[in-house]
Amino acid sequence: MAELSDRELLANMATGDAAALRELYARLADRVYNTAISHVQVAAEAEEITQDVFTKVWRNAAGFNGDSQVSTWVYRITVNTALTALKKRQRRTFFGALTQANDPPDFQHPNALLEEAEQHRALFAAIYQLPDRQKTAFILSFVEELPRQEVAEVMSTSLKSVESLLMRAKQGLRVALRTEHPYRGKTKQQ
Amino acid sequence: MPNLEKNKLEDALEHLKRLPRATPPPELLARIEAGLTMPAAKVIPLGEWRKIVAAALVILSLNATAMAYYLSSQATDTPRTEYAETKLISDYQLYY
Repeated sequence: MAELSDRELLANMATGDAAALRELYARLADRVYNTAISHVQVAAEAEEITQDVFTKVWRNAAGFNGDSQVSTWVYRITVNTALTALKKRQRRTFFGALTQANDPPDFQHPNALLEEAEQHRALFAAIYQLPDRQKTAFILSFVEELPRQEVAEVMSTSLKSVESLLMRAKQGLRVALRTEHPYRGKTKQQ
Repeated sequence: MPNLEKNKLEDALEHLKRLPRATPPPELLARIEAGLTMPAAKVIPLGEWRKIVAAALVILSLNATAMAYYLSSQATDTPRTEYAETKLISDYQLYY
């Protein structure tokens, strides 16, 4: 049997075909989960977001208008859901502990090699501190390695705007990485 | 120094390229499928919440006005009542 396209799977999901959901999940779950965990940096929240995203895809399959790729549409839902989760967390931490409102979680990417673990930890902590749109542009471009044009489509913006966001994100990351490890690569003054 | 910073970021980006995607736990699909059988939670739009809050504020302000009016009338009524009672007692004493 010929493999169905993502659009055909979505059309089948609209008729209540659970097998189509399983197939689409097999194709996109890693991308959704990886995008979510890169944003929120807490595994349990990333799982909740992944669950939310596929539930939304299932319930809105009939409403997909087909003006973009299915994966672009799913990425858009993922990013919006992840940013909403981050806003909720910021509100919670604001009321819970005023001083820790913007502190990144102690996150270690589950697939980081041991010898690179510290470098990834520092980078993800720096990514967490970026403003939302810069964070999304950076994650989609460098963690998910999407082409810039697709990043622009996911974020509903122009290619120029994505490039500008990435430039500012890199500037922010340079500063954050410098302050994260001030003594790396040089002898500490006594 | 700026070169060192730039290299640090470029180095981190190079490592990022070799980082495989994180994968969700295997049981997540079963959880999603189980969740689909439950009815969707009804979300009350923000506009609705605003109307509810506005209605509650109107009711509270009406109650506050009524309360204020009642308390102020209590304050003015009390001496008058006391005066009437005293007068009644003194009148009574006249006929005793």
